[in-house]
Amino acid sequence: MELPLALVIGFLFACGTYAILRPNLIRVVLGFGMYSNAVNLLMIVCGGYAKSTAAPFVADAKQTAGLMDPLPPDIILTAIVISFAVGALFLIVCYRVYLDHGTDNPEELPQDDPAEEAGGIGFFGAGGYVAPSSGHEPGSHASPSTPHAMKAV
Amino acid sequence: MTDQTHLLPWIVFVPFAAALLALWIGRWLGRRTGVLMVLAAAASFAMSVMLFVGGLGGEGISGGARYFVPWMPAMNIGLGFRGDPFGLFFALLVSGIGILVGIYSLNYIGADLRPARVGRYYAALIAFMGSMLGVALADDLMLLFVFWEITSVTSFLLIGFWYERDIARRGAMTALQVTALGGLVMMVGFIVVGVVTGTFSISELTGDPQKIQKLLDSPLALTALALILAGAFTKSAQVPFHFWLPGAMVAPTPVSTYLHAATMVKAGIFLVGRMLPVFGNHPAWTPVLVTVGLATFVLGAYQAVRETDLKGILARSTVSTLGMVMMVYGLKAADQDALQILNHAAYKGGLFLVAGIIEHAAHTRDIRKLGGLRKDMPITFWLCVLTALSMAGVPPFFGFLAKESLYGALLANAELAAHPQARWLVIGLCVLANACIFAVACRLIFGIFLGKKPADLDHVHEAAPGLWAPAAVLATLAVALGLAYPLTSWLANHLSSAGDGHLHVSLWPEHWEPLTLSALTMVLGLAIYKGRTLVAQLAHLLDKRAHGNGAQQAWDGGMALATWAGETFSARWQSGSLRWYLGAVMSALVGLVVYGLYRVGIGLAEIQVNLREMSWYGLALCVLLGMATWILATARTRLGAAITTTAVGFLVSLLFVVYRSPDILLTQILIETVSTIFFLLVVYFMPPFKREHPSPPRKLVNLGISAAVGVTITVLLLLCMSPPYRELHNLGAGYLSRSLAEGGGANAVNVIIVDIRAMDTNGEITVLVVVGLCVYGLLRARRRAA
Repeated sequence: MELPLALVIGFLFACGTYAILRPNLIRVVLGFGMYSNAVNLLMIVCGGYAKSTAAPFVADAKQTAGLMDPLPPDIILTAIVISFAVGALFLIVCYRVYLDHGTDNPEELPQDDPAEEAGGIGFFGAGGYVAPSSGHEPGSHASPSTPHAMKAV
Repeated sequence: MTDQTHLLPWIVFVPFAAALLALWIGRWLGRRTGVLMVLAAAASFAMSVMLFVGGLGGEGISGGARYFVPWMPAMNIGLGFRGDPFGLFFALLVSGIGILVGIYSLNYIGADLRPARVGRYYAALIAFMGSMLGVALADDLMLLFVFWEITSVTSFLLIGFWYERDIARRGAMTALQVTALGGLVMMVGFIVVGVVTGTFSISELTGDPQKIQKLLDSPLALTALALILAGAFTKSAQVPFHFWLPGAMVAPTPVSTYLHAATMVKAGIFLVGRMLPVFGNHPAWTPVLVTVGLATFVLGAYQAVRETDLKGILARSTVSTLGMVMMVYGLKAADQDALQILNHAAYKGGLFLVAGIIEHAAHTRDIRKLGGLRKDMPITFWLCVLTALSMAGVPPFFGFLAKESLYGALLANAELAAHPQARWLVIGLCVLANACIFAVACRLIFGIFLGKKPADLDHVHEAAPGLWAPAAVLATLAVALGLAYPLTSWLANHLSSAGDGHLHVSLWPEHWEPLTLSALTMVLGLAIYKGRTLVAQLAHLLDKRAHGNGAQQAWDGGMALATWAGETFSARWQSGSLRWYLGAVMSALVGLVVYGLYRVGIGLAEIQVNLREMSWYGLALCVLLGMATWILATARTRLGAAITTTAVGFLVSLLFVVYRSPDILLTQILIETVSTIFFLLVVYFMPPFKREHPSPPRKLVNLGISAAVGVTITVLLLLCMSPPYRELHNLGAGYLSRSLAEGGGANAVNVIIVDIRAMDTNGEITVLVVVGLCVYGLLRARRRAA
């Protein structure tokens, strides 16, 4: 049973990878769905297979031979639930991104503003360039707070 | 004598405790925080004296008290301190000058600053003192490295004390970059030594000739030596790292005195002194140290002659003297070290304090704008004369003894005697450098205090006793140790790293050769001073193009290059593109698996497929699943994607039937149904799929990565299931037998979930709750904003 399943699991992984590399957030979510299905299958395959095995229902504690290993299904059960939760969160985040930025293409999203990062503490804080101006209205967050260097001078 | 070993760690930790205290109460004490520094320094000084005196009566000079607490025993690293005479000499120097600098600071660091800032200044200064004492007394190389880097950091804070000034920030940055980088390089050297010899303890290393021989025989010896010397050279501002010290002169004068004349810059020399017994017999030791030391000696002296900034002059002459001591170590004349270092600390510390007084009074440090201050500042004038004459090496001052002794040692040196052609070059250059120092000393006396007084210096008046008293102590030392030469000999021998020194200094020279060289130095020095206009013109011709600042420019260029490379790299690497990140992660997965298989030598040939155990409906399901996956991957509409993703999920659940797992079959069907509803709900509000037109190379890369991932996983899975690697043992067998007996349930999977792994399942439920809250929050936030 390993060969066909290994092939189809590999195919799921390949298609999932192709989906997450595409510029569409919904497709990325779908790609991760393919991944989780593929991983679950992978785990069950690792548990081993024989035509004669039976489901892990124990009638007599002393006769457990020939029953399916209960560990892989057990772990997969947890994995299914968790990947559902993660997928749901992922989907809602995509929805939020679309609401806030009007696009579902991750490559069209705005980048971090380098000017914003470079400003602030490093330059003005140490240099004491920004004089506390009286022109600003109270509560305006555009005015940086008085750098402590100013008080020190 | 009672055992005073327990004092050893306190010498180091009392200042650190005081530094923390200064940081805390400094905001209320303000200027008076300096008292803390004086007290801490005095305590350390007193303890060092006790240990030193105790060591004299006890087991003798070579051993010294040891104190050891295991720190990282698995790596042979311990909190080891050692109070040998040379270490205690440095501790005495650091704490003794610490007292003077503390008193001076009390009167120097202005009342016009915020109290908290003054508190921070003292905290950094006291912490520096503690770390310097740590460097002096550490017996463990790693501990020494830690204190070493603390001195770099505190030095950075102190140089950048006037952080409103661009030049102060730049000076502090350069000093930190050079010294901290040097320290890191040095640490690697220590690690090499530790790995080769199996110990990080300096005393164990120096006390065991076998270990030293093992180190010297190792092919790594040269590497270790080079790395450790890099640390020493950067700290002591040796060529080609000499440029940071003049830049550090933007610090307040007490800092310059303490860090950049008396103590920190001597840490490099101290380290070389510590390493002499270990690496002294390495063939590279003498050539490298003599070359670098001599170059620094001459270059520093030459630059001191040319400099016009008062503290710059002192800084460059300090660099010069450090080079001289480096050279002395290179010549293995270790018995000279205490004499030369003590001499320099006395006169240079005094001169720095004088320079600070003058800057305070005249508001300028440019020697061209100074002059004729003798009448206005009589006490400072005499202090300057005494210390400068000691610097010049005029009898009967301490400096004369030191210079005489240096010449004597050079003439008698065995290393030099073995190379007659180099001998006179070295001695000649030393005379030249000392002559330059002599000229500098003349210039200090004549340039500041004699001659015509510029008109704008009328307001200058004598400084407060709190400022000149510390300088007076050092000046007295410079005179007294010259006159009381038997005491000087005794000190020099008992404080030296050589241990068994038989140095004999005297005001009445026994040989004519050193005296001749001294006289020659003075004549040459006077000539340089008298002909300074000519010298300046010559020098101008010499460095018309270089501006004398090539090393600084090279360093700045290197730093700019490193910054540029870092920025460019991170802009490319952290590009913010989802495709790039995911592509990189999946490629790394493939790469690591392939590399791992290659490393352990597992090939495709080992795959063995078992075709007998196969069911026809399993095979059919696989085919169907493959088709559904293909349709999902190529779906053009949202609805199509939703339907096929459900189909994939259900087909997977049917495959669980093949594997006799009814529990996950039910779970999968349930979850797949909920997922589909949820997906349809959300996707309804999202835009439809657009047709993508990826460029061919982009599509090719995507396809390549995808195919590689698919093939890798398939191969990996087939390998796992092949007999050599297949785990035949049924991992869950124990659970099967326990489920009915202990869990009271026939369904083993259920028992594991709710009984054996109950906490796990509980966590799983928590995850669902948290996700539910997050989803709610994400949806609600919009409504509020709107």
